[in-house]
Amino acid sequence: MWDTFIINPMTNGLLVLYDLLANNFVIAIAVFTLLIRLLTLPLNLRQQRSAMRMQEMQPEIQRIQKKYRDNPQKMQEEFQKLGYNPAESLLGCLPLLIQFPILIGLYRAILLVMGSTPQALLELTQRVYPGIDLTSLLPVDNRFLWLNLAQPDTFFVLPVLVFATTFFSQKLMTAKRNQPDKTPEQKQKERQENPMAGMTESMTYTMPLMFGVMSLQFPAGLSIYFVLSNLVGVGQSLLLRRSMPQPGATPTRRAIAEEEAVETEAEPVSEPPAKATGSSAKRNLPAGSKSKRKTQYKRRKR
Amino acid sequence: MPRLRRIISLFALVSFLLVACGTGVQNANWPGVTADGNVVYVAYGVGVIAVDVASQELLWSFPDEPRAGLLFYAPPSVGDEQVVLGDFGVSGGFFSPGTTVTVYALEAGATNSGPDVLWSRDDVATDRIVASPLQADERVYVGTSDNHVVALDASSGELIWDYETDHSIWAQPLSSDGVLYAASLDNFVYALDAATGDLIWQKELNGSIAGNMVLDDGVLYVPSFDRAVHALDPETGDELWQAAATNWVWGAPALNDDFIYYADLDGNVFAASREDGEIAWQKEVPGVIQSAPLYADGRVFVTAGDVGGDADAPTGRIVAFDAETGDELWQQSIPAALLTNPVMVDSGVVVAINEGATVRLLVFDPESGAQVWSFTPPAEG
Repeated sequence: MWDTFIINPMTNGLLVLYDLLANNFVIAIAVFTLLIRLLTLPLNLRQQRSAMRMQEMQPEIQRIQKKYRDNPQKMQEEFQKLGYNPAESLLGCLPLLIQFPILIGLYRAILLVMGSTPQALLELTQRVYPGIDLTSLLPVDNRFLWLNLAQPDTFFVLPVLVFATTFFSQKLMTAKRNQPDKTPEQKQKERQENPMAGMTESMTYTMPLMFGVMSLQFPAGLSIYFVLSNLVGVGQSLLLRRSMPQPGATPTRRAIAEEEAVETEAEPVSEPPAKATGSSAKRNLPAGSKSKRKTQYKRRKR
Repeated sequence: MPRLRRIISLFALVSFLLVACGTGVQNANWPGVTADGNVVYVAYGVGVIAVDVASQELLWSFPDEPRAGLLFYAPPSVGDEQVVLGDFGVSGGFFSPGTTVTVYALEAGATNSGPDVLWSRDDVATDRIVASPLQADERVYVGTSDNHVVALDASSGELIWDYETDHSIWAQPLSSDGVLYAASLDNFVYALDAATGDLIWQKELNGSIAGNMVLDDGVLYVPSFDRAVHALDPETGDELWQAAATNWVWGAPALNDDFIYYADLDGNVFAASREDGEIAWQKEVPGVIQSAPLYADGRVFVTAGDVGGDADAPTGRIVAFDAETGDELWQQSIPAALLTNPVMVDSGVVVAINEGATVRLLVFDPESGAQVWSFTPPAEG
């Protein structure tokens, strides 16, 4: 099953791209990376959106966790009202988990296509789909700049690039938008109050380190896939952050409900209603309700 | 319910990953076998052994202790004074991705204890040595996977010359009358001045060349992935004729006075006239034939294996044909893919199969096909 659904399609895909792209294996890997990214795009977008939403909910989640520490049932109810599902943070790892079979498959596919041992080449012949003329594609050019694509980079350039791009990609995914950097004390406090956030932060450092170290033993072709994939991921994150509404523009269900409750009790607005814009306009909220929402948050903090 | 579905999905994914991680290749290649008289030399991964088939005893093994990551698969080259072999290279460690590939000259004729290393060179190759080195005219010629042919002094290992091709060399070089012939996966056959390494001629074929060439009676026979065996003029490289196959011809052809015998990856065995390459007979064997046929005493022996099939029940075969008519004389099945070249010793036809980290030698009676002996080296320490 593993061979049929993962390794063989990847191997043949690489061979077809190698054939179409002037027998340049690095370009074949680059295009292959884009295709893989395109295939996993819906999943990645969903995960990134979910991660951003979680970040915006964090103050509210922490407040509920603190308030209902001794009443898990009530805590769950409040989470439900907020629209927060703790299992969702686990599902956030899904794109990363999906990457692993792709990586393992690609690792095998690159070694097979490179045909760097007689056994690998013989195995390749048994995996090639009819219609691909392997004879004319061989030998696959395994050289690129100083690299032998079937062997690790002996000059450590690719492992460093893998580390740097993975770190940048992770950092971008977990960084909160439009928020100033926190002091170490604040970070420590946040980690104590919210272990999940602490774990996410430690992942930002451990994942790049892990992949960087693993790249020391990866074939250079696989490390190239990693670097390109991370760069595409970074671009994707940047685009997504631009397209997502700014924090506060999409309040949680609870915040909206509370706003409405406040509005019914509130004194008449003294200033004349300003021209409504953005998300406030969509919900027909009077100008100034954003500041009221901030007051609500402050009150809760106390 | 949605949560349950998610948990099941996650569980399925993790199971899938675990299965994926478990599909590793244990051996990086099949054993490389060479015979000299009644002694068989086998490079089988973690080491190289010399076994006397007549006395049925292990003569020596090398290295004394297996070294992590160090693998040998190139068939050893056996000379009067020394046995020369190369390894697949060993990584310097997790944080040192460079690979050290070494050529060793071992004392020939060692018994009981391990052979002395007469000399070794770890600076002539940066990638695996797949081909058996060639010992000729007080020199050792080595083809490497980093695209080079190197000539070393046979007594000291000193580098004499180095010639670079465009791709890996998996075929053993061939020497005759001061000319060294080398074939590369880059589709070319090179004729080099054996003294200097200068190029005399080169001939491009339509496919890679991975198997050994054979030179006999003024004709150079070259097996190629372009589904043919090419007969070349060794002086000019001009093609005299070619004998066709239906798939890649990987192994070296075997010869007798009238025919060349060769096989292809589709499991076809051919006998073709040495005059013009016309096919005299063709037979089919189940499985893939990657190895070189063996001709001896009017019989042609081929080994075949099921590759890429049910990994739990791989099957290999050794088949004997009548060299004149192509009639099948006998066939033996082995519960392992049989991809090594069969070799002939006084007491029979020998093949080798990987068995995990070790190897098993099987000896067959050439007349009846009966298995007369099998041997597995004793486990280390």
